[in-house]
Amino acid sequence: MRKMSPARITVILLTAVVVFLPIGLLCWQSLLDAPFFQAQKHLGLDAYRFIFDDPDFKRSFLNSLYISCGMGLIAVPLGGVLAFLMVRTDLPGRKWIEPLLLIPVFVSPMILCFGYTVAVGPVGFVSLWTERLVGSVPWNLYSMTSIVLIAGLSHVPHVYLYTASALRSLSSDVEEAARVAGAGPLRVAATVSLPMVMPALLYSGVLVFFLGFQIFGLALVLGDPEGHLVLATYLYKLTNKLGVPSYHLMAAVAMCIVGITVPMVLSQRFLLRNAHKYITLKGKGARQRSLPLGGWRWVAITLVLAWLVLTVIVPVSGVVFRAFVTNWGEGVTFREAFTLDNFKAVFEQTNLMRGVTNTVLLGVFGGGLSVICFAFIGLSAHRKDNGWTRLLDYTVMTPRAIPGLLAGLAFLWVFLFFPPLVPFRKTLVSLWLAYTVVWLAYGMRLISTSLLQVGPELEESARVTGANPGQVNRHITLPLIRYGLLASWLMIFMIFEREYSTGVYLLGPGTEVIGSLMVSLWGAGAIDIISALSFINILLVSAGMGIALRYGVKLHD
Amino acid sequence: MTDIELSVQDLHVTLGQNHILKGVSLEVNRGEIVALLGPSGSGKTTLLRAIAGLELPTQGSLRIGEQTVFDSAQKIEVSVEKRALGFVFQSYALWPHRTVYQNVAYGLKLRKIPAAEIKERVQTVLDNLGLGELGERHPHQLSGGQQQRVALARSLVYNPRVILLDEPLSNLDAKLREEARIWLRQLIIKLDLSAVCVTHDQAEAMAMADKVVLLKDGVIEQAGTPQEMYGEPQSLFVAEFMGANNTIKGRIAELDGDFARIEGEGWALRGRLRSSLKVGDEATAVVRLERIKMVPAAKENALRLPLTASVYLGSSWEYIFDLAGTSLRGYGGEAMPPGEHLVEIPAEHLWLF
Ligand SMILES: Nc1ncnc2c1ncn2[C@@H]1O[C@H](COP(=O)(O)OP(=O)(O)OP(=O)(O)O)[C@@H](O)[C@H]1O
Ligand SMILES: [Mg+2]
Repeated sequence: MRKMSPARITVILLTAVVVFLPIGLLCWQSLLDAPFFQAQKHLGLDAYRFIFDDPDFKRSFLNSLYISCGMGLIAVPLGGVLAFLMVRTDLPGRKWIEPLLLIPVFVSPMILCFGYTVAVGPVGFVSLWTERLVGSVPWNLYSMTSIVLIAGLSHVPHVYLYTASALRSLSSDVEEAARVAGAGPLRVAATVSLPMVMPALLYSGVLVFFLGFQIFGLALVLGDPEGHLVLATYLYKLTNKLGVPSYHLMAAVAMCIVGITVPMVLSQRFLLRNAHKYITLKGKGARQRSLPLGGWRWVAITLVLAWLVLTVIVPVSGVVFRAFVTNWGEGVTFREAFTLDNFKAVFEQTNLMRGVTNTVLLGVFGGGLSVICFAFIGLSAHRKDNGWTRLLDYTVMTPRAIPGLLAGLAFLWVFLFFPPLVPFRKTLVSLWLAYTVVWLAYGMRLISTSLLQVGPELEESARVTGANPGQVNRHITLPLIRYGLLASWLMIFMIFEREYSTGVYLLGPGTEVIGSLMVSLWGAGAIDIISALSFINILLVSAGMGIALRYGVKLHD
Repeated sequence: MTDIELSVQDLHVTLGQNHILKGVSLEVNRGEIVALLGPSGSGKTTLLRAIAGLELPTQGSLRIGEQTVFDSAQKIEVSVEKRALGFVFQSYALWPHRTVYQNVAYGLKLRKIPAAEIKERVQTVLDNLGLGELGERHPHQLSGGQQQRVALARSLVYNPRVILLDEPLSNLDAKLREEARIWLRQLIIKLDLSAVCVTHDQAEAMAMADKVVLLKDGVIEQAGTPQEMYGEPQSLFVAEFMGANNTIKGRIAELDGDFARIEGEGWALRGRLRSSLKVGDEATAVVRLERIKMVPAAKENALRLPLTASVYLGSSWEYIFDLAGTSLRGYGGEAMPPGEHLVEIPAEHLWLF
């Protein structure tokens, strides 16, 4: 029971290598003054010196900081209120609002922002209607304020998920006691419920803050027109700026981003450890009762609907709308502009079609394979607590600190210059590996949630009956979590459909996926095709959500 | 050949930071049923799990039959699945994804027994335990008593020589439990097994076991036959744990060989010394409820006490007397009028600690 078998150690070490090797490569590259594969190179801090002297870098950093802070200030209070309304009150229509809340989590920000430009951009259809009504467009989608606002609103679900699950685990009698003592719903929320979920709010606040530093697609789409750069888009544009690929500079920027996010991921771990102190788990008798909102329900439902319209309905309808029209502008009616040509264009271009099939393949088979890997990793640390499992803990959470764009870059280098892997460079294997590492933390959370539900005695009784640890895994543990594994497969499928930034640097003939194609097409301004691809992507994600809702798969914990 | 099936020597177990077992030694002979008794948290489950190999002891040795399965000095540790023990968990731990048949057959499959023989042996054990018809059901379709028997069948089917049971009857209701303990004892005897059975019900321990081991804070307080444990407790803790008692606080007034006189406010009694006490020591006198007798005329160790209440129990009456502020309880056959009565506490059965 106590000793770690060689198989377990191998799995843990392999995981550590796959996670830390690319990051190590980034780190090493950032300390060189030329690409690492060249003979002529020297160790030094030249790369850092260069970017720190670049005013664009400084501006990008400040923009990233501004966005992160703004996001936190918008997403945390709204997410907290939303969680309270959804979990604790008799808000009308909770059942159908719930899946809608998760759309910003499962639809890529590229698509959402693209939708915004179509709907509320300078010539968007909403903008045009507004202009007709009031004479001018009272907003500017491409200003920093809009960027922060949209980033904040689209991260409300992240806060919502953590806070809601904390609220669900708290018994509601404390709130009832406050009601009996004469407090109104607002007061109950402010003085009783929210303080109790403070740890969850703090945790998701840190999450939102470092996600802010990782923002890429949003800034790419909305920041471009007025030249607002953030760290990730600065990195992405470095090549254009200098005319040559400058690996050491890219690596140095990457290390700056990682240097900010890693401490935050670590602090989250600390927060989580302390969070357990405050959680008052509900006992057997405690029930969840919803708080009657009374007259407040209309205020509440208006707030939720306003958020939904702004964050989900406006951008998604923009995308869907744009996918079916030739062009859009002043004086064009939908009837004249309606077309299916955008889709025809996708079906006619082999690389686009390959992108669509690759996305599906990667989601279905790649996702399945990833879940199998996650299950192996999960089992290797199952019911153990020692140095090895701690190493695995840190290994698993590290990828959270690495934005997909950087992970893709690091894996590109690994696949370019690590001889045994070179043949796989132009295959989906490279993408699959990068995706699996980027979503390692997420996937392991899904798996360990399932594993935690297996009572230890079920495994112990198999041991006593004569099964060795491998047989226990095969005969008892895995069969018991099979539904959990299927559900994880579905979740990973959706996440892989959504992913766009990881594939950006790995994009090439054979490794196209919808997400990375959109990024590269955005540079070329191919709006028609992007809208068709976006629509297809939304359909794929919706299929996943549909299955999840149909079979009652929980979309979050 | 030795008759000792299971031998535990000076076993120490630490869980997390807590030193749970602090040197436990225990021997179980062939065909013997040993009950592990003790208050909650005393380490009963831990001891059982350490014997099975589910917890790693820090010190000591374990032998099953001829084989040493654990020895800290020689660095021997035989893994759980090779110890060939039967183990019945308190929660039964039936595998929910397998039918009753599959649950029971699992141990035989692991031992690579031919399919036809598996079928036959599983059916035999299911029939023996009155589960013959239930093979195709899943655990959640069974009652508590049936689940308990399936758990038992699962650990008996591969003929272990020693079976470990962790509170096997605790999930059954009171009536079923009294039948089940007799049934379980007879089954174990019939199969000629050695068994260690955890319980925290002393009546159950005495009804089921040939030997009772009482644990307290990770050490064995006393071990012996049920008669010894009940009739000859060596400490106040054992005396109080093993039965329903009256306890009276007093002071030793006079020593007289094996006996002594104990006095309190307005009373004096003769009792048997059960620990070394000197004149003037504070002492506790303990007497089993059933030893209290009503007597018609004054005699030695008879006190005249007021009856404060009598309770009808169905088969008998329980009387509660007042002895200088503490209550003294006893049983009798008929209702008694209120007032003072002569109550005898036989010196032979009044233990002084
Ligand atoms: N994993 C663990 N880590 C630390 N301490 C533990 C662990 N498991 C049990 N303990 C402690 O060990 C002590 C003995 O536990 P054990 O389960 O053996 O008691 P028990 O005698 O079986 O009690 P009960 O009658 O309640 O089942 C308890 O004080 C318990 O709190
Ligand atoms: Mg126990």
